[in-house]
Amino acid sequence: MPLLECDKLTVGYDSPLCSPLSFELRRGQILQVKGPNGSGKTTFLKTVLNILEPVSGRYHWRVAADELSYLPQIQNQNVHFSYNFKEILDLYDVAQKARSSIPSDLLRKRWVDASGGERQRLMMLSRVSPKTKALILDEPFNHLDQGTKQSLIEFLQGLAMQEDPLAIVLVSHQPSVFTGCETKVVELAP
Amino acid sequence: MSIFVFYGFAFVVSALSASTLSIVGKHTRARGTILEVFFLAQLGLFGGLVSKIAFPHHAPIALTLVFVAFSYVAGKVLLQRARSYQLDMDLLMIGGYLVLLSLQYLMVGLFPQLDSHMTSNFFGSVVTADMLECVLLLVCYVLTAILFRSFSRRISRNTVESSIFGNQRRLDLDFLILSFPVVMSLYSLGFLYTMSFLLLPTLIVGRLFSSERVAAYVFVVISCVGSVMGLYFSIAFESVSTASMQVFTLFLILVLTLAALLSLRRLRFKKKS
Repeated sequence: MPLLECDKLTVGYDSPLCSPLSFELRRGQILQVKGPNGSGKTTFLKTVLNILEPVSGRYHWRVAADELSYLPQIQNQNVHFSYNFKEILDLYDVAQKARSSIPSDLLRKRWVDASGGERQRLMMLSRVSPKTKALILDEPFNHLDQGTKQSLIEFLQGLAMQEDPLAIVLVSHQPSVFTGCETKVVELAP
Repeated sequence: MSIFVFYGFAFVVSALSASTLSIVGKHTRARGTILEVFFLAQLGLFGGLVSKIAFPHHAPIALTLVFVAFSYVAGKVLLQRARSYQLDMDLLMIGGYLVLLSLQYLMVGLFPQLDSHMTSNFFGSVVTADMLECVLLLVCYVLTAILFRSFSRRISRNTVESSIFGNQRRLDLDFLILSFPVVMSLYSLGFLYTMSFLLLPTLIVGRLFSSERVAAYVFVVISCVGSVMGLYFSIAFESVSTASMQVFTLFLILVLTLAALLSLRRLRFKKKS
């Protein structure tokens, strides 16, 4: 049974920003939502997160609120705290299996000393609680080099292919190649 | 010696206020709301002055506190509204701070009896607080400590999220817990003391620790020592202002700590290389 169903969904504020979207997303699938700037990627996210009303069409989630996790873009690189990775992870209900993927030396690292990729990976983990069934990520590969991006892709693949697989919605302007798991691509076009 | 016994209660209030404010300041700075607190504090003090005009002969502590707290929270609501219009919030808060400051001086010109209130609003201290205020402050800080303990995971998580994702926290439980000791301190201990103990520790040594837990312990110890020593010096040297002495002592200790921490880092770096 699909976790997310979209039927001729158009998103926007007063008028549609893109042509109607119809798709289904099941556990273990990765949905890539692509499109150039201004094509309505953020508006799409706000719509399926129930912040905005659809212009037309409908969408339906078959998950409870606490089974759906959303990771916004990291906005602030210059933070004013001394939290290390372990302290940050302790603030969230992170699934033990996902948590064990972080090496112990990285757990001692402070957020301010970590690389962009390490920070992004930590924040992805923070969204994987034992209850999570679907994960929505907004531009997770922004400002990352190719090698770092590839390691995060492998990490997401792992989440989609684990014993209790997640459904992942990935909003990005960059194309990404996932192997070993079912991938769907939705291109937003005016 | 007897004079220090006389001020015994003040020492306890100093220690508790300093440690509470430094922890609140740590969250406030990480959330990027220091300017907001400056603006709201000024608005709170403005509300306190209004209560003195409204009830010139007898304004009980509770009533003045209600005016201060109401102005503080109303300011937060106004800022939330302003954010939805996508205004330049930093400029708005600086401008608001200046206008409120001018307004307070205008009020003092029109109602000269407010002069002493205005002075204690800015440069008040634990020595000028009466017994009832000191008891209220003690209750406030103990209550804040209990609330912090109970909601520490939630408050810390929201601090991390606000800091990393730039979320603007709404008028929620966090805001109330973090604002409670600030409002009480503003009313009884004055603007200079409150804002300095809120801001200086996190500003000077905020990011130099291996973990946030270590940072919190150091903040509490340094602020406590700074405030208590400052109070001691101001009693020993009668002519100096208590709040100014406490702030200056805190600043000196923070600078020494900063120098020690940087030297330690340099040593470690040398050893590694």
